[in-house]
Amino acid sequence: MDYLPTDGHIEPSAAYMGQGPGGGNIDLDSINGGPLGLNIRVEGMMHTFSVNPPKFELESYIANYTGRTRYNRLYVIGTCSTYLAVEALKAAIAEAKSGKDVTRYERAARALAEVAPNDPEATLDTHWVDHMQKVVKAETDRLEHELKGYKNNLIKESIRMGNEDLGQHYYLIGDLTSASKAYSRMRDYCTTPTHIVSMLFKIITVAIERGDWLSVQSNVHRLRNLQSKQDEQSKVQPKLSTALGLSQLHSGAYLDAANSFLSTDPGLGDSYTEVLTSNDVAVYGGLCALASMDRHELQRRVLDNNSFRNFLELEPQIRRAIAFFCNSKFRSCLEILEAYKADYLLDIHLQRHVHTLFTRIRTKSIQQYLIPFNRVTLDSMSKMFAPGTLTGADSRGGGQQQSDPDTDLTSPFVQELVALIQDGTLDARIDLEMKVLVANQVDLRTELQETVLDDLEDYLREAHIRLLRTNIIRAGLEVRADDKPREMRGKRSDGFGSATLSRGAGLFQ
Amino acid sequence: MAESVEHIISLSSHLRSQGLLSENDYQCRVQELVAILRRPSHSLLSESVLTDLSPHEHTLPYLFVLLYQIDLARSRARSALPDDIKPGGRLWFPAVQFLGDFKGPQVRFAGHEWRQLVNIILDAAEGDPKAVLAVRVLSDAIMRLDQNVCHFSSLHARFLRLCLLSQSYSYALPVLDRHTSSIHTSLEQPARGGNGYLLASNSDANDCIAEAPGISPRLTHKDVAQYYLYGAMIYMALKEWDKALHWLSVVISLPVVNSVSKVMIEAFKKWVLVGLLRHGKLVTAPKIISSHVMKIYQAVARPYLSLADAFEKSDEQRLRTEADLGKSVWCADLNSGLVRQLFQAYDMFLVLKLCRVFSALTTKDIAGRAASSGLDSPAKIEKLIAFLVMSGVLEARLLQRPCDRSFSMLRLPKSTQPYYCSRSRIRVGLVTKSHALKVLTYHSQECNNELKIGRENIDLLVRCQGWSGVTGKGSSKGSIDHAAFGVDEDIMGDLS
Repeated sequence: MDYLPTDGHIEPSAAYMGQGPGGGNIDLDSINGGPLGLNIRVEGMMHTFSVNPPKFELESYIANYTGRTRYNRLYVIGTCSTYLAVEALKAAIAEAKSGKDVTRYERAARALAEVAPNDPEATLDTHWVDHMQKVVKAETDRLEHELKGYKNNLIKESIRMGNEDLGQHYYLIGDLTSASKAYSRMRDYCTTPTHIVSMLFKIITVAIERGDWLSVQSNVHRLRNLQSKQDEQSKVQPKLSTALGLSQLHSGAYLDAANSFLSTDPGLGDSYTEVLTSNDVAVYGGLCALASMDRHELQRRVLDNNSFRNFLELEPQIRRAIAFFCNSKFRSCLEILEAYKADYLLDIHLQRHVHTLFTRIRTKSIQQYLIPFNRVTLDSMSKMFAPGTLTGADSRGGGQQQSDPDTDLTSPFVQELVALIQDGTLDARIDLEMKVLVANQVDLRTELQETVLDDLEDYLREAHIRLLRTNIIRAGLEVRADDKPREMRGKRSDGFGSATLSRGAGLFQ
Repeated sequence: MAESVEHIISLSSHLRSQGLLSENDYQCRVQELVAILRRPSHSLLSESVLTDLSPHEHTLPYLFVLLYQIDLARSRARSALPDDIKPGGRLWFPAVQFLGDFKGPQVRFAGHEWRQLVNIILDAAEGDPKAVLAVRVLSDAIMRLDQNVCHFSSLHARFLRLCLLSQSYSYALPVLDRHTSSIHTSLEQPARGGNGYLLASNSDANDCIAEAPGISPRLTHKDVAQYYLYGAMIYMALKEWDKALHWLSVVISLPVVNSVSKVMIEAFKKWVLVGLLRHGKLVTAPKIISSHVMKIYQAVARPYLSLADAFEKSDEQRLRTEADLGKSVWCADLNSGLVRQLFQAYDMFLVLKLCRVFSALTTKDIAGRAASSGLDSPAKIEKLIAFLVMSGVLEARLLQRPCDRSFSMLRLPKSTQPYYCSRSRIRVGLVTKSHALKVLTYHSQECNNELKIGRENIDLLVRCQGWSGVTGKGSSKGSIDHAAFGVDEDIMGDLS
């Protein structure tokens, strides 16, 4: 572990860079472009979800957060919502100006210029920019110089603090790569467990902002494995579970994410506002659980969970949605979620997963709804799940409307059902004559026998091929390029093979 | 010299009373007779013998006389294939008579000559428009000779080729079907004896390796590959896709040392297409194919794979463009017939896919879903569905409506077959499969024994070599079993 300082600084960062793309972490692509690349790609969705005004008050919402995440959240809202765009972007500009990150200010100003070109704040305050750039430059130079001095003196604690200051500075000016490098360099100089804990937390915070979820996970595990005192543990635990939950949410492991959020201690309070609030824990955990657990599990692990109840009380609509789902009132559950969709789409962490989560919840509701039925009329189903559309409502009596079934087959709800059946999620079939969905009845005995026959067939084929192969190899008849006797080749080179092939194949023309 | 003829005939008549002779005695006599016949002095056997003798009773003399006469005719006409031998010629009839009537056990001792005769007939038939005349005779002959043992030879491949050329596929079926059900384990024989064709069962193989090596050509990997490719093509012509697919996968999974043969590549192309026709998707290749071989296949058969991709993704438009783009390729590979059948299969799989989703729908609905393909009118779809139902692919009922004839309702009950029907079908399936399993187990055990990895052998080895853990007193049966099983696994594992 006797790394030279320079080695220590290059190595971990290289590892992070390598991990990112391997884990499918798209956010890393835009690290160099500035902080938080993840917002950029969502802009295209703007029109789809800005229809409903969000239910929250921007000011009180953002007041819950501290640190850099304030700007990031404001920027996401500003670029994604048409209702709050100007307000949010103005707040973002103010937020950026109070800090030292010049690029953030420029981006917010540019975004505001797109939304409201005539606003006085939309023009770039070049004076402030120049001034701030100079200040930042001077500060960077000073800190690096100081660090060099500490290194020459070889005092471990000073080097650690020097790196910490430098990391903090880089973090504030938005150079996240350098920040995580600087923090990682602290590792060799940490002398007490408290130092290590604080260093790892700093790395995690930077990694969350970078969107480097693999690094979040590995550092969380590192923290977990540290031995520390009981009271410290209880302080660290909630932050750890939320960070882990976030990384799992972003990698699409919704069940794991739900478990992490559910195990978060209510002691979290507002101690982690630079990343997320308790409200967020409730929303993230609730949605992930809804999307990945069955009714029984939801009841047992979410609603009856004493510690998570504290979170749920902050977001009563989530609790209601889960309760409705558990009571098989899918319509109400979906309606609640639909109503809050706009809010969730403006959440910095949730927005990319809302669509997937909602589809999963919906699919699960349809599945659960069908369990007790042998056959269900499409009518009642569409009333439950697609109240907006009409699917041949008058056709039940076999009346006039039945001659016009196109509306049924082409209606989005039926299309959705068709897709679900085709990918095997629903084990049912649609009867367009009677307008019902019929559950497939499985004749277990026949099915078993059929599978046995199929397996036998497969086995026989495989064994035949292998046995034949053994025999062929034993006879020395493997295909090889150039081992035939010369006269043999002469004999066969009269186009024996090809001529026959051609004539034989001609049979099918 | 007339005595000699008499002598031969009397010797051969003795053989008739096969039942009275002991196995050894019988063999000795046959060998004696073959030895006499092979001597060049029997040139006096005149053509009249062919009319006088019955090929059933005097199999061996008849065979030799026939060959001699064919030789004479050849030297007279100074060509390898004089008119006399061609179908309808002077010697054709006796040859056919012989092949239809010979005695298998005797011919086994004169395998070389028998093979020569069959080759001559194959040669004669191949270029002839009346090739079908030869096919039936040869099919019978091969079946009769192989009654107990099915030794593979290059003759088999040539015979299948003749069947393909003369378009008389069903005559090949007895030969093909037997080879699929019983796996021939005798491929090692040529390598061991250096002979191409051994007309003997394993037990007396040593008795009849009398022929000089080198006279009959050695089997090559090409023979094996061609045999299975031709077999698959015959099944394709008969539209038995399952069997065709299996035979093709045999070809593409042949063991390779350093290169892939052209036959295998042709087989792979056909395998892709047949997989689409049978299952509607690109079938997973046998696991036994090593990855580098697979890479070669994929590189060479790219147009086929992209065609399969379009088919799999139900992209009608792309399928058509791919098929058009690759026209020259299909023509060059002579697969355009198969490619053309893809469209029919595409429609079929489209309908089948819908039928898994719906339990009742109108032909109009199907027409709406399949609008891009050729199936745009309800009437066409009705025709297709009627065909599918009749051929047993689809279990469904069409209901025409009395008031409105423009479309009809398609109902797909879970099963239209009565319960006992499906049960008896499964029963038959189980019985046939269990028989096939028995055969397979037998052959694999035999193979184990020949490779000296039978249970007894392993047991012996364990004892002799004093392997740790199982030696000494009370070596537990279980552990030996385990050892044997381990080696078993190895042998059946990837050998490439």
